Order: sequence, then C-alpha cells, then structure tokens
Amino acid sequence: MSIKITVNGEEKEIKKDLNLAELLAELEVDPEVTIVKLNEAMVPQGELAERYVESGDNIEYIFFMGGGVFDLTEKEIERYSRHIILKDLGGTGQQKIKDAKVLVVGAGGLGSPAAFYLAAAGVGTLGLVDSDHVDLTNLQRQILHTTEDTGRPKVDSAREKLEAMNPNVDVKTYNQYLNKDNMESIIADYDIIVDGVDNFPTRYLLNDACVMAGKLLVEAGILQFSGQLTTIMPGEGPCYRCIFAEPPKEGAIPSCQEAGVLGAIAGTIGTLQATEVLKLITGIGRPLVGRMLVYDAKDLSFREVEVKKSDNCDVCGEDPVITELMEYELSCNLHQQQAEA
Amino acid sequence: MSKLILKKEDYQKILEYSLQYKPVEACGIIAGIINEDAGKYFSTKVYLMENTKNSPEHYLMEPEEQFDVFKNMRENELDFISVFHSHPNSPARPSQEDIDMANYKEAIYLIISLQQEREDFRAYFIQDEHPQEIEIEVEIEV
Repeated sequence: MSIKITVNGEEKEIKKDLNLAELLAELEVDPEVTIVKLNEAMVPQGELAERYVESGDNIEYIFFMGGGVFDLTEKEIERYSRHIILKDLGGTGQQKIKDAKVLVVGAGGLGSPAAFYLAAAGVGTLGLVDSDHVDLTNLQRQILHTTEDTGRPKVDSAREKLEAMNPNVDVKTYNQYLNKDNMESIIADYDIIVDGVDNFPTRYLLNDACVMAGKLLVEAGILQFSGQLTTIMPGEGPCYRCIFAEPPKEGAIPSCQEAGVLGAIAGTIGTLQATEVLKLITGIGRPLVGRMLVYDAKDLSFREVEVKKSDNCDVCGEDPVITELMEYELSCNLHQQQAEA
Repeated sequence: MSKLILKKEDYQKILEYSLQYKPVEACGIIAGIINEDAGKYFSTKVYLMENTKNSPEHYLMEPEEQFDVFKNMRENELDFISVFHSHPNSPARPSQEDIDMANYKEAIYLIISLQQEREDFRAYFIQDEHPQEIEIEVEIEV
C-alpha cells in the first residue's frame, strides 16, 4: 500500500506507515543535518521516529546552512582541547596558532624545546634552519636528537621528532648556514622568528634581517648557568643592536663549547621562547618588548631589565648605517670604519 | 567547467550586505536558473539572511527564514543555486567548518573575503569534503 504526500513542493508516492525518520532514510537524507516541517510545524529531531506520515501530508525539509572560519578538524579540536578551553585562547586562538608560520633558527639547545612546544601547540608551519650534524656533545641539552641520531643532519633528526609529535604540523627544513645571501628569502615566508643560534655573527645578522623585514624576533641566549630573553618587535621596541650595539670582540665572550652550559637551562629559556611566540600569535598578555628577562639558575631567580630603543642604533635608529645585510666582520665597529673612510 | 554568473546588481547587493555586517559574517541564498548542459548557474534573485550566530567567525541561517526562502523559490519557479557567506578577516576559501557544514551537495558555496582592501569573491562546489573552485562571471546588464 502506498500513499501520496508532498515533499518540498513535489508530489511523491511513498510506502504507508513510514515515520519521518524512515522517510528521510528513503530520501537518503541525513537527519543529523536536517530540519523537518510536517504540515507547517517544525518537528524536533528527537521526535522524527514518533511522527507517522499520512496521506496528503505536506513535508518540507532543509539542511542547516552554516559555517565558520575554523579550520580545525574534530581530531585537532580533541588534541588541542586543553588550549581551546583556555578562556583567553579558545578556538579562535587555536586557529591563529594553526595559521601561524614560525621559523626556528638553530635546531640545538634552545631550538629543541622551542620547536617541540611549538609543534605540540599546533603551529601550522614550522621552519627549522641548521647546517650542523648531531654530535654526541649536543645530547646533554639538545632534546630533539637522540644517541642514534649522532652524525645525522640536525634538521632531519628534528623533523622526524616533530612530525612524530604532531603530524598536523608542516615542518620545513633548511640544511644551510644562514648568511646574508640566503637570510632574506628564508625569513620572508614566516611571521615570527625564534633565535636559537650559537654564535654572534648569525645573531646580529638575524637581528638586522628581522628589523629590515619587520619580522618579530624572539631573541635568547644561554651560557653556563644563565640565560636571557627578549622580544624584538621592529618599530615598537629596541632591537638587539639597540641593546648591544656591536658584537663582542672575537674571544671576549666564550661560547658554550668553551665555557659550558647547564643543559636544563636550554629547556627553561627555549620553553620561554615558545611561550612568547604563542603569546605573540594569539595576542595574549604582554610581550617581552623593551624588557630583557635574565635567568640565574644558581640562584634560581629571574630578573627583568628595561631595555630602550636607541636613536643611534645602526640598524633601527634615526640615521641607520646598516641598510643592507652584511656579515659579522664587516658589521663590527661600523662608526669607526666610516670615520676611517 | 561550471560557472556562476552573477548579475552586476546581485554582486553589488551581496558585497554591500557583507560590508554592512563587517566584522560579523553576512550570509544569504542565491536563486536563479541552472543550465545544466552548459554548466552555467545564473543568478536572478538574492535573499539576504540573518546570521543567527551574529559572529565574526561563524554563520548559521535561521531555519524559519530558510524555509520561507525555499518556499518563495518554489513559488517563483527558481532554482536554488548558491549559499553565500562572508569571511570578514580571512581568505575566500572554505574552512574545515565550512566544508563540514556544506550539506547541499548540489549548491555552489560562494565566499566573499573582506580581508584585503579589495573584496574577493570565490565560488566552490563542496562534495565529499573536497572543495572545487569554479569560475565566477559578473554580468553587466545592457
């Protein structure tokens, strides 16, 4: 036996004794996304199976029409749920993290925890620059690498760990030493740069390049039992050269290789860099601009030092003398060189 | 290759409505005539809808209003061709949420991005979670 009904303005002949849920199944309509009206009255989804269709009934149905800017899949929402429930962060903040592009320069002591936490947090695109190979002496602090990785390029070892940590992250690697020729093109694709370098030439070059390109730079350094951290927001606060006008003379400051570093300090400072990056991405809190955080592990204390933008800065001052990237040797004693010239 | 052909006045109407609601997402329905053989979708009428979410990041049409529009389309013998919504601060591509909620497989999903100074209209079919962009032509009436 069949009956005649109208469905969305069209006459249809259907089996007798069907309820609305069965009718939707016959029409291959997903009840989860459907709103049904029976003879001009909406039927709650939970009552579809209780309402039987009778001859002459007028049935209309529509599908929900909606959407939003969120690109988070259900799996991602579950993965980042502890972020998303944070009142200040929420789905909007997590979406910003997913849309962000962050470049970590150096896959070493600072770069390891920074990149690990940024990948875990769901930064959509994570770039890693390092031309070194994993050495046994790195493993006391560089937690991206394991004993088995000794001898491998650091970026390969790092990529493997970060992708295992979070396959949603697009990890891009640059197995190159940063220099004035490749710097601009590498940083161009990123919003925020994390400084995890182990030498002054690259640190100054990175600062100059970020200032010139207007990129946010989360700057940090560690040595022996101490660490320091500041955020460089070009145009808004001091750059590294405003604080330390010129690189120290060669040998004036020992490197970690020469003077040592307590491994866990890399974890503390690198993690603070990741925190600062996530704050910058989401706009939460007060960025560490115009302030330098100094960490003393022996005393287990943090001290904040005010740092000011310098009008005489060689790269971001009123009359900058560095207008194009140059390597360390050339960038030393610029004023003196100019005076001599 | 399918093509969405918008009348100039319909394009303007959608743009003005989207700008008026910025930073909230604007939404609506486009009705018209489908030439299936040629793959052409001509707009003839634009329904401006209420965004019940009233949000810069989400939209959801009001069901009663949606029922009324579909009834009106039937009465005027118009085809349902497209759902549009604006992205006030993001590009004109479907987000995962847009894809998940693309329940009308036969409809064109039109997104208007107001992120840049100049608006960006882009149209997609979204089937099996895969957005496929189609061409848009703005028809100037003579």
